[in-house]
Amino acid sequence: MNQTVVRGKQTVDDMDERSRNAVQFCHWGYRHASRDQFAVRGVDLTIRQGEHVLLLGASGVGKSTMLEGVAGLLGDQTPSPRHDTAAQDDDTRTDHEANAEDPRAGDELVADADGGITEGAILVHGVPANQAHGDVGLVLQSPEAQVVFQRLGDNVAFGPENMDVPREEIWPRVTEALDAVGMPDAQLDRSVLHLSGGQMQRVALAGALAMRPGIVLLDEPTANLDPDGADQVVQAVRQALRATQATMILVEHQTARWIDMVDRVVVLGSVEQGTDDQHTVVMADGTPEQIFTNPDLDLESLGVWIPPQYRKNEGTGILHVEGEPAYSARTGNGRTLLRAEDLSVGHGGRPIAEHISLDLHAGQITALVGTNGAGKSTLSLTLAGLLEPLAGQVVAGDELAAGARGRWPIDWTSQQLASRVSYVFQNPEHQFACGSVMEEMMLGPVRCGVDEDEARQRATTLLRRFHLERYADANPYTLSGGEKRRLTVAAALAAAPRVLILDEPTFGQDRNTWMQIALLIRSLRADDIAIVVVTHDRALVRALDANVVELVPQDGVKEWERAEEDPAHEIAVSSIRERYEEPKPSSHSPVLASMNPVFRLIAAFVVSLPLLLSLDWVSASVAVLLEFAVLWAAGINPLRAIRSTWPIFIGAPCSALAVLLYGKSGGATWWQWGWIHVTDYSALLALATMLRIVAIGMPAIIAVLGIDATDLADGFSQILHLPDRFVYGGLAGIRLFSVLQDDWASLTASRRSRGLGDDNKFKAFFPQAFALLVLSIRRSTMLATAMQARGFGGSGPRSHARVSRVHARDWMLLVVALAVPVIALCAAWGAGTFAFMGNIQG
Amino acid sequence: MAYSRTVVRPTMKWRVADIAVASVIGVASALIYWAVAIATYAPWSLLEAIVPGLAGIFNGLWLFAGPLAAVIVRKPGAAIYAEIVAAVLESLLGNTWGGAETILMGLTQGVFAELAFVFVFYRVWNVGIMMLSGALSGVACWGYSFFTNLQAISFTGSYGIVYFLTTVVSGALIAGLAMWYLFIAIAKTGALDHFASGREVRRMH
Repeated sequence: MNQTVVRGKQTVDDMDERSRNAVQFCHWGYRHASRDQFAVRGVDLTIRQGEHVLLLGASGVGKSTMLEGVAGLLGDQTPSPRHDTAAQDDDTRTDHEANAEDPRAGDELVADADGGITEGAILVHGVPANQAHGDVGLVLQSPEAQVVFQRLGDNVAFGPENMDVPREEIWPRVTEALDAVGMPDAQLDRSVLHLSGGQMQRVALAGALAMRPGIVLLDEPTANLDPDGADQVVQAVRQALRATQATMILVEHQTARWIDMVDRVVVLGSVEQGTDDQHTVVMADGTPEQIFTNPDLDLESLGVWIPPQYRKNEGTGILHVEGEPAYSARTGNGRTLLRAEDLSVGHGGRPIAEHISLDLHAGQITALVGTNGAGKSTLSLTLAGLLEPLAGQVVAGDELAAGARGRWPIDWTSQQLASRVSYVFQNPEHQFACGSVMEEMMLGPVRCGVDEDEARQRATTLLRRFHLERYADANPYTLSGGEKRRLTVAAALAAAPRVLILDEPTFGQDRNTWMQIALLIRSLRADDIAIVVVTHDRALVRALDANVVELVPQDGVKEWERAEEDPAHEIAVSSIRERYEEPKPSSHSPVLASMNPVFRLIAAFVVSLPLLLSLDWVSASVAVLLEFAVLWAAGINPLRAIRSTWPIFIGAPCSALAVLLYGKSGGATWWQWGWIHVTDYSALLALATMLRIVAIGMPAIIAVLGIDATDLADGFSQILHLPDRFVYGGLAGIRLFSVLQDDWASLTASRRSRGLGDDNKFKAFFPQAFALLVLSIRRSTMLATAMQARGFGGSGPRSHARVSRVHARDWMLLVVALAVPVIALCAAWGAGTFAFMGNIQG
Repeated sequence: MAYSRTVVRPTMKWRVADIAVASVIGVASALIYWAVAIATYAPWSLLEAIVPGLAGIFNGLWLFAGPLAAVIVRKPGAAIYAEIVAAVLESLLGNTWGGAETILMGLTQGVFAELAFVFVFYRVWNVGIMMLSGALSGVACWGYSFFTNLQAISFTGSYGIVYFLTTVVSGALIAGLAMWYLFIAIAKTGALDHFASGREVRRMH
């Protein structure tokens, strides 16, 4: 792969020297926008070709920032002359110490359009990282955040497209990459929507590998996966590294799965230097054996899980906290707070799991486990009174139901619910509703009728207990990931609920945050609360000593073995995913479906816009009749045509009424009252308006209804030659539509859970729309990173994996589309009713 | 290591992050437009019955994507781009306004919203310019209606004037004024730290 980075002047010797250094940090540093401190500063590190390096260090030491830097995602995206000269100078030296003294590489701080500051340089195979796109493949933590397009294959083809790989080479590369990650039979046009986390993450890895990178960067790629998914990904990486001989840099807290493929471990730390500058330094560097057996390194305090083979003690046992009750967390004190009786749960009437019976006791911790997509969240939302049971019931015990409207949580008002059952969402941003941490804390209690002083006192106590008191005035969104999570738990507790349900509380947390959260959950037992933890974190279940309830798909395997005396039980759920998806036709009409989407869009305009020339009943009715006939011939009968376009059949009479009452007048007056003036002409115009709205609207809707967004984007790019950056940026945004719909549903549920659900719809709409916009902007930032990591956005040429084909029939479509208004307008002319823009000459 | 050596290169060129945020604002707006369409269905008829043309006060709720994207991204064409993404999405989903026609509406409203920023060469970003942008977008919305569905109604008549005033005021207040404060509220969450616009707000507050 090195040939992509060779420049004319270099000699073969230089190249050899260079190629042995895969990555070189030369006194590199980066400060993110709006931060006072550098995330990484002054780091010097060289990684050689073919090495498999594990980067360790406490949270916040800047490991992810370093990977982003190597991937060329930080700093200016446009190559600057400064970088070139720096690279030329470096030709003569390979020792990074020398670079550290080079003022050009070390001292100059360069601000970029992201608001960040870069110092020093990162060289990838001797070239500044910003110019080495394609030589580096990056895989990030969240599988969902790395999906760019709807179809599986398109995501893998995206990198090669951005590198301008010729089309005929792209698909073999896609197949090869999917092969390498153990998905050789993947259906390329299937939607990524129903993939499991493990599959999605392997698609992301394949997307990186298809660029044939010399260096693979992995940023906690298994942190968000269930154990099965994590195994799949590790296996895929192992295979891929063997096949490609690529260099690997891995950032990971859970090291056990990876350790046998790692040959070098680098431990990073930060030290005070001179004034108040924090500098990043390599604290230890060696083989896994050397690092993990080094008695001077306290890796656990850095948030690292030590692999079992190097562990001195037996890992995390059951956690105990001060003041906890004597009875076991598996059973609680025996008083039932909430009970599921023969419960069926699911979305939209389709059950995922049925016949669930479950008791939640005070002081008990229940762990709801099972593979991704088995319905853990659905069950927990139903238990929390946020989702209607499909059958059976969720019943509150006497203690919990006292004072509420009935015994079914789903029937309670939002306020009654908030003080009884609380739900903490996986994504903290689904939950925030206020502008400051203190308001956020006081929201629940105040909503539940607690007076302000007591609410403030309660909030202050909880903030202290959760180590958040110094953020009381901060905006909740600005906290770090771990702090946000603690805040959502604290805010849920402030309303003093008796049942607390937590969705994946330890997702993607390092060992220190993990420990804090686990201790916190244990300590809640003293408050006589029933706790439900939705998780696939085995260590957490062990540490909490929780009662395990597993959801097992019919065709799936039970993953959680347990001792016989364990009261755990399993719940059968329906199979999760079908293996093959029929491609959905892009129109009810097979004729339309076979047309090029851009031509369909143009046809929609061609058929409808000329009709605007005349507003008269003859042209409009001729057009409507012709359209019904043409659509019928194309396979859409009039009934189906009306059904697909029903809103215009409601809108048209409304507009016609406005025209009848307030339209241009002329001829005999039928009725006059105030502004209303109904005349011969206004009646005629009303009829014409109604017919013409149908004549314009019906084909304009049906022609484009069902067009696949990806096909349309390909057409925009290849036929209309619109710029790819905007076309595919827009397409990637449109894919997020379904994600944002889910966000909206989560926001609605979380507001009910927090006691905000009783507000009238109008009042509740705006704060929720605000939360959606903030979420969407966060998602767009992640999307931009994912796209840039695949080399998108450069000014160079780009190839296209898919072809937008134009056939003779597409031109025929335009001819037919034009014929409709031409015939209709000629008919009006002939009948003498033609009225230019509705101006009837009396 | 003085900060005076910091090199800043301001640019009007779109970054990938700019494209992504403008397109996602378009998508989120399409979702909100859809919710608004359902919510305003009944009150719309009611207002029309009280004073003809009064229902135009709702129109601003369909115009905000352009000004909002523009004030965040601050690159030429942002308002147009966000409106078009929203409109393309709506037309593909069907069952809303007028299929392909929606794209024309989005384009007109986006172009008019953009005009406000063109007038000041993308140099002035304040509540006044935002309100102008929203109001212009309202003008486009009104004009489009009278050019198409409402050709038969004189736009200089009482209905036309009431509809004009309500739509323009609604555009200025909802798509302009409210979006300015929404932008500041979003910036305070830190979500816009990657944008010069967001950093400016965070520095000032």
